[in-house]
Amino acid sequence: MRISLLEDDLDQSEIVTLWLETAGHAVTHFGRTEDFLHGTMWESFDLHILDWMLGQSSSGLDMLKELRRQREDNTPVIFVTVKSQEHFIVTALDAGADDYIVKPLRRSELVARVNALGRRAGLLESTRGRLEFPPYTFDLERRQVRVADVAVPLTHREYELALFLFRRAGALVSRRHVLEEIWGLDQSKVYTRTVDTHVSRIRKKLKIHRRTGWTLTSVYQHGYRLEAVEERDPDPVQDG
Amino acid sequence: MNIESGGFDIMVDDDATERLLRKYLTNRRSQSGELKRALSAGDFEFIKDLGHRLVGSGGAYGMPRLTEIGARLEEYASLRSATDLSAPLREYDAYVHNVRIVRRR
Repeated sequence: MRISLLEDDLDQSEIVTLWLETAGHAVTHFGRTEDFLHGTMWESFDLHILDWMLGQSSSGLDMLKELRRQREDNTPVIFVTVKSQEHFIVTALDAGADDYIVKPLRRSELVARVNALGRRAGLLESTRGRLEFPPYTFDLERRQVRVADVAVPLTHREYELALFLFRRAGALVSRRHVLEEIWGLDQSKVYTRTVDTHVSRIRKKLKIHRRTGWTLTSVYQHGYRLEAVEERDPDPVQDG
Repeated sequence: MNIESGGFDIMVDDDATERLLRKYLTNRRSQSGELKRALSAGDFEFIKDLGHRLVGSGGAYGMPRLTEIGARLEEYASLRSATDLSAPLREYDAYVHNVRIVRRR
């Protein structure tokens, strides 16, 4: 998963980054709330880890409220803090945190909680079973997509991209996020135009449009948003 | 990647963790003098802030003793109690200068 970490203590951010990267996640560290606000405005993340007390004019709690109330951003959030009293935990959870960990952090616990949230959000890779996004069905073992029970041939990259977008349905995902996840971390030789081309292909091959109940839109200077819409054609495969 | 602490020996078994722990310990040793100077100058805010950071980071770096000492530094600095601060400052100094990072073979 792509994780943002808001932590003003460099010692802590370094060890947490090492733990999470060793566990297979990509971490972007923000030391100041201003940088976090700017970074999360232009980039997408699968999970935020927020420290409460930052020794700055605004706190991790302020950032959580900004995400939930102002931006209506439902990205999972783990709150980390030395505050262990019940009323602090309740305050953070009531403000929209999905989990709360008291410092000092422990590697196994942090990684387990991150992975648990990832599983709950349907973001962690699974190679078994099926994922249903009617009329689309992802057969994870056969790496196949079916539209209303008709298999659609996709290349490896197209399949990965389609799965990535459907798992993040409703969220605005940045091109950089797509590049990192689908083309790997070394993206220097991949152009954003390549991503646009692949998105265009899967839109066409999977017939993603209002009539199938989904839209896949390109957001200027940011990325893409796949989302479900209310209207849907009763027989989408037969339609153009 | 594991950190195992026993007394003054912190056992690590990979390069990246060892590098981070050594850097962390070097920084803590250099802060020992800063803490003493802050106490002499009556800069309780500095001690409180550093204590707070130790609470968060000590255990994560396999040094739970620093988390305990940090909690006392933060508490006594909040109370502006120079007398009470001298004991945890001595313990901090002794700990950071005696603890060793040991690579597991």
